Amino acid sequence: MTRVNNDNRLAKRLNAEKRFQFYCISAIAFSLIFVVILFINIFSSGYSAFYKTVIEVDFDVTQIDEDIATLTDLEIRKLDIFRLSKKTIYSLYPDLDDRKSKKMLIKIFSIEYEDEIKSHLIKNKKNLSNIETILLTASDDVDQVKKGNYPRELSEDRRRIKDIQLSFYDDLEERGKVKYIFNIPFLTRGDSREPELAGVGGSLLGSFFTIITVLILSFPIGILSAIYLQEFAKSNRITDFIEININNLAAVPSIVFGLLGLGIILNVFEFPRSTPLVGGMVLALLTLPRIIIPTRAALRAVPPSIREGALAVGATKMQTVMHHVVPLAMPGALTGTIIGLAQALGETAPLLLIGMVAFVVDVPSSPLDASASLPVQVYLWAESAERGYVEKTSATIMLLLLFLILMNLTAVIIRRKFETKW
Amino acid sequence: MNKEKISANNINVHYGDKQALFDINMKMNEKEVTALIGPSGCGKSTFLRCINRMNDVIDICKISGNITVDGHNIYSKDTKVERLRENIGMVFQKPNPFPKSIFENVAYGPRIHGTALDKTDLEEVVVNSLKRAAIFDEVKDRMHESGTSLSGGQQQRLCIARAISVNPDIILMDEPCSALDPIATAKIEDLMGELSKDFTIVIVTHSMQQAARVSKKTGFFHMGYLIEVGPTEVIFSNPENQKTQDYITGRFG
Amino acid sequence: MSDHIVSAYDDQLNLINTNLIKLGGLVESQLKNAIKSLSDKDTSLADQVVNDDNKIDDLEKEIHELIYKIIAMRQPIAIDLRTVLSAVTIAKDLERMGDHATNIAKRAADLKIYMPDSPIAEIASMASEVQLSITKVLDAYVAKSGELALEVWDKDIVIDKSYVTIYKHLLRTMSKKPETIPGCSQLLAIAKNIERIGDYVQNIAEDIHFIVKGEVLIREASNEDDWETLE
Repeated sequence: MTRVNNDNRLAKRLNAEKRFQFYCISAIAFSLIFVVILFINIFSSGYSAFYKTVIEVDFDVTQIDEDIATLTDLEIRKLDIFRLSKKTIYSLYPDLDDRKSKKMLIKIFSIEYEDEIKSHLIKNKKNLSNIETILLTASDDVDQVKKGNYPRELSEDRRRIKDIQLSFYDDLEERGKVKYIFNIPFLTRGDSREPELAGVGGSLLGSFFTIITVLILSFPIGILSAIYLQEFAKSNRITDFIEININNLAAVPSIVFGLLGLGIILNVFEFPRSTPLVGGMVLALLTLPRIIIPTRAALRAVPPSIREGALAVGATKMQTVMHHVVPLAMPGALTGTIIGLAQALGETAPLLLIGMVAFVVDVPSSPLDASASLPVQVYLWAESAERGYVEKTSATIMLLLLFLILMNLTAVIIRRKFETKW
Repeated sequence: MNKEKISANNINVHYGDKQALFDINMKMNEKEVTALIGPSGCGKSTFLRCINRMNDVIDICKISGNITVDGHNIYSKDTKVERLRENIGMVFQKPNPFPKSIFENVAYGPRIHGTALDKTDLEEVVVNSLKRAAIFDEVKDRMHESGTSLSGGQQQRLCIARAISVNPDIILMDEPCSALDPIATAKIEDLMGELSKDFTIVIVTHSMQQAARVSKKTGFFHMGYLIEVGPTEVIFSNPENQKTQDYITGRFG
Repeated sequence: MSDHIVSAYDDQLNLINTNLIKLGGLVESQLKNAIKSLSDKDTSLADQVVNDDNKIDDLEKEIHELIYKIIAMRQPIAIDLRTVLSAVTIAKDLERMGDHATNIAKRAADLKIYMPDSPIAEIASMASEVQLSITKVLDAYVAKSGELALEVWDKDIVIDKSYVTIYKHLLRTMSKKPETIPGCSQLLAIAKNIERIGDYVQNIAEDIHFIVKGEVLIREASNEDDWETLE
């Protein structure tokens, strides 16, 4: 009789286990679906930022008096070819007379057409033919029309692009003059008022300099503090106090660090505002506990038998720690560091407070130049009205995610490669 | 009868409030094996670790009394603990080679103490130590593999090589065979016989048969007291103390 | 002394003890019956004693098996080792004692030879002393008493003295009445058997003392004076 009861209970237990597994898998699937939706959303709206619309024009090099091949880059930049550039554009429609239409024609190009021609000349000055085919960037409106985002069906008075411009576009498209190419300037140029010219290069370098600063400041201080606190400091009230504070610091909202940076680093010490240097200093404070805590855990995980083995051979405490314990704890410490850095990469609020949010056109050349960072750039573009910024915002998010994934992957690889059996 | 090498005098050890060793007085002679036996928790490992001051790393451990090695008190203020441990090697219960190469494991000691003159000298020291620990033949073709890739018995002999690489006078062994199979155990016991010609060995062991096989002198510990100490043949054939007899014949543990 | 932690060990030791005591009991009764067959001139009793010797041999073999087993399985040391190794010699000694009792019975069965009564009585008296010793030594073994063993050990001198007295008496009888020589020489042999049994008892006492104290009893040189006066 009892045997049958046990079978029933066993069946119930097994069923409960199956149900539990189902709930767990459902939870994972649920979150994965959201992640996939997020990725698809961002990817679909952002990929087009990596392409831009250009229009082909034919430039008559012989119209320039000077021999381009002999000029320096600076001299070419200084040439006045404003009229010549305009003529080149007009030459697309030689029969066009009235001023208004001509003005409209110019407007379908991006404002920098003269500079773009000069850039082309500089790049190819050694082997210029008489008629150079140059690709000029289209204006933001044309770009969005090409990308299919523009509401063409609205009546003319309710949209910015005029019918005549649309007809120019359609005609040029038919003539095969409209090309869609990879948008390298998006990655190399700084921000711009013109969406079609705006690039993420400034904030890319801004983030890069910031992270380097964070690494240089927080890694040595974090690792050494962790080693001291874990291995050398005597266990007493003071060290307990320090440990509690470090743990709490990890939970402090990041914007508080921004306030600290504003109040002390900028106002008291008068460091240069809006620079990756200050951004890095603020974020380093934020990252310190995120390095110290996993490093201490990694040190704790080293078994005491290793330490005893070293001590028994006559090593000093310092030798034991530095020759044996720390190398074994390094994979854990590095993983913690990289994850801390990845988190710092995505911080926005503290950087806003110390000013890394200004509209900066130039790409920074050192941590002492003002710049923005990737997440701040996302914030800025998300607020803009122009349709052209939408795709760029998503593209920036894509880049940010890419770096986060790469950094986390590096952490995983380091962990896998250096895990030793003790 | 060999002359005295280590002398423990009135050793009392406290872990915080708890007393672990009560007034231990014991002498160990040079170039012979002395065994410490007793049930779990009787203090024999604690006593062993007093000899090379490994108990110093435990904050709550307080030791009174003194231990002299060759007449010098190792607990005096001017004793450098690292030099002491250069002279007194230790092998642990669970083999604990460094997660470095076999060569590095044995070279580490001479390196930090600066006892090898140059690279060739260091290599010689390493090879000699491995030979004396009866493991050279098994590892000579893989000196650069990790120490942890060896079997348990081999790891323990590697640890012995590591201990003797700095040329100590004394080797302490804390239950060196308890994690090993019978054949590995036998190899180490055989090795002990060889080593005792040159080194003073003190071994803590749970196995009475092992103590009877390898040692010349045995001390029986119980609940922190040294109950009886004497020649091994006497302790294991006709001990003076009834407690000793009860323990070795398996009448209490 | 407390029990072994592994109770099966104690069970095995107890089995050896019980069998040794059983063997001792068999030997006791063999000796008693042999002397009785001499005093009562009972040949059928004498034949029974001769036949029963097999039981003693078989039991001794059994005890040996048990001892081999306990040494292999338990690796006894100190007092346990002394107990177990001594059990081997004690069993052997008891078996020898049994053999001597059988010899006495064999001689007693030969009724054709006339044996004078008075030496027989003396022999019976010496035999009863030996029997007392046997009982005492078995008690000493059971109680693991060093003191009792020592008493038995000391008594051997008395037994030896009785033998010398009987020997002298028989010599005198044989020289006075030569027709008693065949009978008396048998009686002489019987007396010797009993004295040898006494020696084995002494050995057992020494073994018991060794088990308990771990020391070997050393016999002082015996006083051979008595042999001088043969008149």
